[in-house]
Parts: sequence; C-alpha cells; structure tokens
Amino acid sequence: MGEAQIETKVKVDVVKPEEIPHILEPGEIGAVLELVVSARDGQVTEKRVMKSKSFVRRFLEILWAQFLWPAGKGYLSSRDYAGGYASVGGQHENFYAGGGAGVTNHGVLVGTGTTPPTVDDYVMENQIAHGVGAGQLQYGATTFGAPASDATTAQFTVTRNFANGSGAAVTVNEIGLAVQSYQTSSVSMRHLIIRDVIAGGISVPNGQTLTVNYRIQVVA
Amino acid sequence: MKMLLELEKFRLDGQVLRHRQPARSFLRNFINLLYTQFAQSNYSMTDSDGTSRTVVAVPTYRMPNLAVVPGAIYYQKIPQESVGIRVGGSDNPVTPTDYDLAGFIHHVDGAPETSPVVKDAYYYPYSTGYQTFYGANWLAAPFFVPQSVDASAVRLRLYRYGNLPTQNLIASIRKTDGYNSPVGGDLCSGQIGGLNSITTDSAGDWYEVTFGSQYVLRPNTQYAIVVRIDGGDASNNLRWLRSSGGTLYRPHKDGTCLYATSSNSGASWTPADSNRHNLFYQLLGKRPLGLCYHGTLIREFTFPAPPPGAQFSLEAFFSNYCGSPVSVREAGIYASGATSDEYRAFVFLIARDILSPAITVNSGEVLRVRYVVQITV
Repeated sequence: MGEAQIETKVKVDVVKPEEIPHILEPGEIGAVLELVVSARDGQVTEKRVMKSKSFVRRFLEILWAQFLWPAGKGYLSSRDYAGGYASVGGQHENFYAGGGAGVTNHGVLVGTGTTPPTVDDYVMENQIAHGVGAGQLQYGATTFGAPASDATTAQFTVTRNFANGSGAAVTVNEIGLAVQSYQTSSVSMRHLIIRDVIAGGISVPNGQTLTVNYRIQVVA
Repeated sequence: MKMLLELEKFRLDGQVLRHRQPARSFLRNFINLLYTQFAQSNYSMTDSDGTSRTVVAVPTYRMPNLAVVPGAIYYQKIPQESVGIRVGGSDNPVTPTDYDLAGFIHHVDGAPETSPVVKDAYYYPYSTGYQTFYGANWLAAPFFVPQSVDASAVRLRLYRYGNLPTQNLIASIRKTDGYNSPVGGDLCSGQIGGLNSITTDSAGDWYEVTFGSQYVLRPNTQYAIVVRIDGGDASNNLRWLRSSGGTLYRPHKDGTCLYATSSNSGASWTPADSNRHNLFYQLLGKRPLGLCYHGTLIREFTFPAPPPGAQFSLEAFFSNYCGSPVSVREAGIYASGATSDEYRAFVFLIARDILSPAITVNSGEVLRVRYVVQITV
C-alpha cells in the first residue's frame, strides 16, 4: 500500500493572469479541465489540459433559479445526485462546491465510466470510491482559486486532489463536478453540473496523486 | 455553453425587424458572483457605480445574489429598473472587467418636460433646525432619485448669519460611497453670488443654484448635494435648514440617512447618523431621453432537439415613449449582489454585448431583447 497523502485544508489561491488557459471560443461560458499527476516528491509525471465539454442540465437549472430569486417565488424540480428530485429556488448556498475530504457526492468527482455524457446525466456512471482499497482513490478537500482575468478571459478554479494508496494503478475515465442546492438550514441536496469523459483515461500510479482543476471561464 | 442575443423591433406599421447574433458577453462580475456561490466565500467586485463592494456569500439579512428579476428582490430595495436586461447607446468594445453599460439608456415613461420640475425633495417645516457651513466646513445631503433625472438645479432652504458681501455659494452633486459620504469630484455644479441678499430670517427661504451643465442621475445610486462657501467664518456663514430629531424617515432612504459634514473642504466626510435630520432641498430637472423598460422575464426551460440540449432565456421589452429616436448599440444584464448592509443590495453588470448593426427605436416602437442561455453536450 502506498503512502499517498490527501490534502484536507481548504485554501484559496489567486491565479496569476498568465496561468489563464485560452481554449474556449469567444463568447463561450465553460470550463477548462486540467489534470495533473504527480509523485510524492511533487514531480509532475503527466499533465493534460483540455476543454471541458459537458456542462449538464443541472447547472442551467440552478442558474435559472438563482436568476429568479427567491425560493418560493421561482423554483423548479431538479434531479439530485441520489436520483431524487429537489425543489430548487434562489438561495445563497446554491452552487456551493466545497466537498470535504472523503466526501464523494460533492465537489470534484472521479469515475471509471466511459459512456459519453448526455445533457440529462445526474450521476457519475461508475464513480470511484474513497479509500485505499483496490480501485479506490482518497478524495481530498475541494479548494478554490479566486477569480482572475486578462484581456479576454475571466475565471475561477475548483481543485481537488485524489491520492492513490490502493497498491496499484487506478485509471480515471470520467470526471464531474457536483454542487449543492439549499433546502433548509439542515438539508442540502447535491447536483451534478459537469460530467466529462477523458479519451483514453488517465492513469494514477500507486503512490501518486491526481489533481483536477476545473477552471470555470467566460470569454469575451 | 453559449448565449444567443436576439432582438426584435416592432414597428408602428406592424412590421417586425429581427436581429440575431451570438452573445460574447458574460463578464468578470458573473465569474465573481459564481465564485461567491461555489466557494461560499465573500468577494470584492465592482458595482455599476464603479465602487468596490464585498459581496457576502450568506448575508445576515439574506438579500439576494445573482437575481435579475426585479419583482423577486427581497424588500423591493432595488428599484425595478436596476436589474435585468438593459440597453445602451455606446459601441465601446467589451472587456471582461466592464462594470456598467458605457452608454446606459435610462428608463423613462415619457418625453422630457419642457422646463425643469421638482424631481426629488425634502421639506418638513413643522420642526426645524439648521446646519452651518462656511470656508472648509462643507455640508452634504445624500439622496436617491425615484427615477432617472436630467438634473439642472437645486433649491436650498437657507438663511444668512452675519455678512457675506463677496462670497459665493457653490452647490454640486457627487456620488457617495453608498453610505452617505460623498466620493469623487463634482458631477455637475453651479454657484450664486450676492449672498447678502439671502434672508436673515431663521425661517429661511428657497435659493436656487443652476448647474453649469446637466447630469443624468439614476435610481439605486446614492448621490449627495454638496454645498460650500468660498469664505466666511463662524460669525459670517450660511445655515441650511433641516428637520429636527424625531421627524420623518425618508421611505426610500431606509434607516438613518441624514446629512454629512466635512471640516476639510470635502477631503473626508462624517455622516451624522444618530438622528433623522434631513436637510431641506428640491432637486430640479427633466426626464432624460430613454426607453421605457418593462422588466425582465425569465422564460421556462426548453429542450430543443437537435441540440442545443437545454436552454432558457431572459427577455425584456423596451418602449419608446420619449418622442425622439433612440439608438441602441449595446445590451447587458445586471444582477444583484448582497452585502453586509441590512437594507441594500448592490447591482453588478454580468454581461455586455455590442450590437452589430445598431438598432434605432423610433417613437412609439417597441424593442424586444432576448438572451438565450444554451448548453450542448
């Protein structure tokens, strides 16, 4: 079993303008997906940067509710991550993506599913569990990079580390982002708003860590 | 995910002119507000007045974040014309950090009046006091306008104490920080001399100061009338009448907004915030040219096939009742952002587009502007 460590401390970083990738087309609202595999000593063994292709319906539904604030005056039924339906209205806590360490239905998620995304996807096809058992990865806390912009592009970043202590390589084929909708002071629901399938997958060797950065962008 | 911008002009002869273009438009402030939600973290961003505001993820008073429909704003503290789709007359290129339409077209219900009329005022003559101003001791009366005003003059309720044979009274309008203290330079100003003709009767009288140039004020922005004299002293000054303690709140001001004092010629200000003392003034002006904004409607979800996979749209109508053609060269979306203030949310531009070509809306015509938000998988 490896000694991979997960990061549990929430942090907010300011992303320098030169770190803003330019992949989206003018006028697009979307995300850039960065995948970085690194060894325990911090050496990067693989890095990929690609366009996230797949905001799904739930993002638009929560945005609709937020535009139409407040709850009770404008709400809709939105499929949640567990397969139920949640009544979503405008709330301050909507869209929160800060899934903590070990939390597998909130924040950035990983899986082994290879079926192309559809607009109605509400759950990962085959999610990788949290842990150090065979085929599992340790979910770190989701963290955020503060907004930044350059002459054409504005972004903020959602980041999560997945450490492999399973004893063997684990291949990640699908990546998603789940956020919350607020129901009451004690109840919130989770909704998948992005699901991407990675061509060929990305292998995380035992003892190494996969860092997923979703850079949510708008391009003028 | 993309947006489309669709415009339709309904002419008086019944013809409909349609225009459609890709929107290239979401701005840094949209990312800022989304970040506040995603990270549940307070974040500073620039409001439509150009002022930095810290938007609070979960404010105590739960004023809304990202709302674009005025009818849904808690407590109705944001004027109905301040959020949603708005149009403007400038084709300055879009940059991600734009915080206001460059040529904002005001919401107006009719043609400009033939001569200035009182557009905003406060006068409560039943229980009065006064504030003194001279030299470096300036006074400011914060106010909001209920609708856009092309401001041309103010009337102040004054009386004179001592002699001011050569001095001038200067009155101007400045923006405030949103909390009663003037900021920045004069937006418009004027002055009057002959101050020894001002009454010495402590009941005061109205004195009008006409601005050298006009300036259009808009709702949801707090302004201040700033007054000073180029001279005088503690024995020779002017006194601006006000209400005394315990009199009326100004309903649209919320809370204890009263007046502000400066002892260093406007370099810094101290709002007086413990009593309901409002200085007596009348703001004169006319309607500006503009379009009547009927509010923004959010249409329901649709799932067109073939792609895009899902979409909804924001839609607003603008009628030209002002009697003159109005050229529309830009469109944008304003959304609310909550601060720690109990009473107020501020307004942020989250999208801006340049129309190509521009659209002229003639008197009596109606313009429909529609933003379609789409996702395709």
